[in-house]
Amino acid sequence: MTNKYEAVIGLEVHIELNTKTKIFCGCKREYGAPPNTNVCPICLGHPGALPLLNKKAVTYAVMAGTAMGCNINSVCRMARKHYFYPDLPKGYQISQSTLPICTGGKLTIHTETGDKDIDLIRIHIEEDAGKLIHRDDYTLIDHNRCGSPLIEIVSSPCISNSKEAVLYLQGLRTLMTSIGISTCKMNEGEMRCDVNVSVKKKGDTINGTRCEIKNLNSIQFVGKAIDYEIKRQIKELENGGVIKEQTLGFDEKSSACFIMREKESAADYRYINEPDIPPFYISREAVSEIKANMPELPNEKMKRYMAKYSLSHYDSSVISSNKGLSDYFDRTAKHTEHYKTLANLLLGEYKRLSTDEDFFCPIPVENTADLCCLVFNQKLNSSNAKKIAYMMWNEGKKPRDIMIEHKMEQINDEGALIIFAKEAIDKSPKLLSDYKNGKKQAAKAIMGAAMGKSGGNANPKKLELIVENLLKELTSEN
Amino acid sequence: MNDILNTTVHRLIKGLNNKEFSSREITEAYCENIRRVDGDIGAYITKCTESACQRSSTIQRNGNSLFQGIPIAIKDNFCTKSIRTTCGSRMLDGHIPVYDADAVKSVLKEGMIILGKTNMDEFGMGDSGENSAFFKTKNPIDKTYSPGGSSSGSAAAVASRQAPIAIGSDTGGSIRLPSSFCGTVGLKPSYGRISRRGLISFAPSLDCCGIISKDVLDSSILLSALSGYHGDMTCTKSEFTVSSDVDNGIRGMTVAIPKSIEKIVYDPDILLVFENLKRILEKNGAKIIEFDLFDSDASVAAYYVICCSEAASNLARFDCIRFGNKPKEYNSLDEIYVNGRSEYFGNEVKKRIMLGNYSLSYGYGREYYSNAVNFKNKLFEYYRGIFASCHAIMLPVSPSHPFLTNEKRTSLEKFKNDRFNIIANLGGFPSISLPCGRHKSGMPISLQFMGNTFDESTILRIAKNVEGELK
Repeated sequence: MTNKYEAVIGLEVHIELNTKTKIFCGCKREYGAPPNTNVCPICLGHPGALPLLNKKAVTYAVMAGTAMGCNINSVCRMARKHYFYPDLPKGYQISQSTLPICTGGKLTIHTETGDKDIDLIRIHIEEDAGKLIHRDDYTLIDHNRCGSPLIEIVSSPCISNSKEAVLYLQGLRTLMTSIGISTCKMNEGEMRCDVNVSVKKKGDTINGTRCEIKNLNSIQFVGKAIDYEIKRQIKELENGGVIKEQTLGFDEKSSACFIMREKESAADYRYINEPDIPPFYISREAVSEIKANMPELPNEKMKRYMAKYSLSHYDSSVISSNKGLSDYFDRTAKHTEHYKTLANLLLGEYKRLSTDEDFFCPIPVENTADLCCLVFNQKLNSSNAKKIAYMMWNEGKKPRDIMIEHKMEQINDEGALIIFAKEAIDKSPKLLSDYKNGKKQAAKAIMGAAMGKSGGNANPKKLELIVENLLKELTSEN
Repeated sequence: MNDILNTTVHRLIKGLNNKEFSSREITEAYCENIRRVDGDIGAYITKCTESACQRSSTIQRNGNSLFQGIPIAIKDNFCTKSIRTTCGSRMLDGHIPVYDADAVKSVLKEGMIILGKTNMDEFGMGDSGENSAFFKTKNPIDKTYSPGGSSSGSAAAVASRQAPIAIGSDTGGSIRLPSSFCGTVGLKPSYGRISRRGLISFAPSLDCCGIISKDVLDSSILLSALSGYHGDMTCTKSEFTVSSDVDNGIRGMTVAIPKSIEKIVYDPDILLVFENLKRILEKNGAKIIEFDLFDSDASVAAYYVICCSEAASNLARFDCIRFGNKPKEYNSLDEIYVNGRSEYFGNEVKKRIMLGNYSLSYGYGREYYSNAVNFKNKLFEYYRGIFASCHAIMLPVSPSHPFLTNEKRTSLEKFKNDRFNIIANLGGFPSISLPCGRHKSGMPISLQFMGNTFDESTILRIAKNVEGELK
């Protein structure tokens, strides 16, 4: 990016709430159900049907606001946002306008250059529209999703680049999943993001014309789209052109934005307060109670890991940002004191074995604790530890049993190690002469051979030292 | 008891309990009269006489409910499961709801028998019945006159003995005005007294379910049965029960009347009836005080801005995609909307949708809407202040003689005619209109008693007292 310019980016994120039923009716929320099976007169917009506000949805929105330090309004109102589209049965969406549930607030992201607060403007609740399925000649409408509860989180335009945007989205996802109000699966549409991008010369107070990029369905694509759009806008301006206010989509194959529509004028949604839902009140006592019952937030968790378990900043931030990982860590930590070893295990082999975006581990925590003990006490080298982890994951046996069965106990005795090293050197005279001739990397190969002699059970650090010393000795003998 | 058709519901209930006659006899009498008379009057869009008679022959009166076996007519903007519900519109010509409105559920829970769905001005928009997409209901008292609207069919049905009692809706006088023109009692309860779930919305901040009956007692006992059912967040959970002091008379009560009423009531017969009522009230021990109406012209304007804006909003769901009729021709998504809505909405509805959207659009009339809402709040506070010094307010219903069936009136004339009725709608107050006299022409004149929020008991008590006096 040309250093003359800076980007001004704001994100509007829609998150589907994890309630049992929809926001205004008792229909189930169920991803993948057969089309138009979880519907009723209310979410289909039948004449005469009236909305009934789902209290859980309001509670979840308050939780989201509380987790991000928002002001929770005492008096809130729903509002009708009018437009015609086939996936909107009533011809209006029940959303919020002037009295949203939350205002203000912020999310702190941890960038390479330090922490940055991304300020929020507001959080409000609204209903989701249905899903359109386009075929060649016709379009089908599935109303299962219609009326699902959403929160819309509007950030202030204080994001400066794609990295920050990605961290913000990851942070939101972590936070929302950890407080349990959503599973934020972006590929299932549970988290959707619209991006507003504009550029201006560095130091300019007036913002440039902004374009909106919609229908981004992965965090990665958000980053790519932002990069593309910033480049495009700068290029346009450098060529003496003007930025037109447009709505853009992102083509994944070409990693480029394309024009969806020109914005001639701002849409007039003819907002009115929803007359079928009276103003609702959120008492300070209710907010306090919600706050008191909030699960531990990722940032709090991170601090706890650093303070109580002396984990590094990096390890703490990674574990605390994944609910499955942190749950497993916390449960295992009750059975072991070897926290650093545990962290290494989880972030290394276990994370690799878990294929879920949401970490899940089938190994009982006692077994993991035992494995940590073995590793910490030098009973197993890291290579064997990985093998045992794999076997535990797929077979459910105890680590000690596996270690004995497969004869994996680490060899620490120096005498034995020296024998392995000597054997390896004896068997590879060429490597020895290579080493003597200055090719120091031959030591690695000898080390590997020695390890092989030990059946893979040698203490690698000790063996490496012994091999090195032996080689030095042999070299200096000449 | 041979004159079943001329009997009040409470008398029918007594007769059923005494086994003077059966539910079947009552229902068959009404169905027979429907067959005889409705081709001429046009009160019903959908008649359910066959199923009604069938039901009435199997129903066993077991004392579980008061109204068991009593027939009733339902205005066609209440959803009735499996029974066609049109709202008087071609848009819903073949529409068969999959659920019953809460008011209908209450009626069926009571064991009442539905005689049919009554004619109305399309989606409730109108005061004469002439805006029905199907046909014009005639006034049973004199067929050259309009029966009033929008609950034209319900009022005409009760007046022409085609139903002993009926349910309607009142957004800007739609129960009280046709009741006045047809000589029936019309009760608009407080906003939020009866659940609106299943009442196809016209203006949701104003719409009220209500009752059209032969006398005050009938409407009070049915009100108890209908209240307190809720799939509606704007409805109160508390039930209404007929107060034990409803027959105690009005001694010591204060009734407020508007100052200089002769300046805004055009018809001298109405003024005479008003004066007569004043005398009756005073004779029975009530005190009369005067008050200023709260900006009557602005009230009419605010009412129409609000109801048109809300109507434009509610009718957005009629996009010809999920229910209702599809347009005959279309070549694009926009054409489905435009062609369908143009074809199936009547002119009055289209006019109000346009006025409504205009009043909500930035750069156009957006200030009208916000001003109207502010005005509504001020009106409410003002009348609450009046009610601090009186038990009820007595008002005319129509300021003029009933209009002829095809009388030419401008929109503005029509709107202004509602000036007394809309007060109760804007403020959410309960009001009951009661026949109190006649024009020289013989056409009936009603006056209304409007009460404080949720104080139906007081206005029923006053109305009952006056009714007794007028018999």
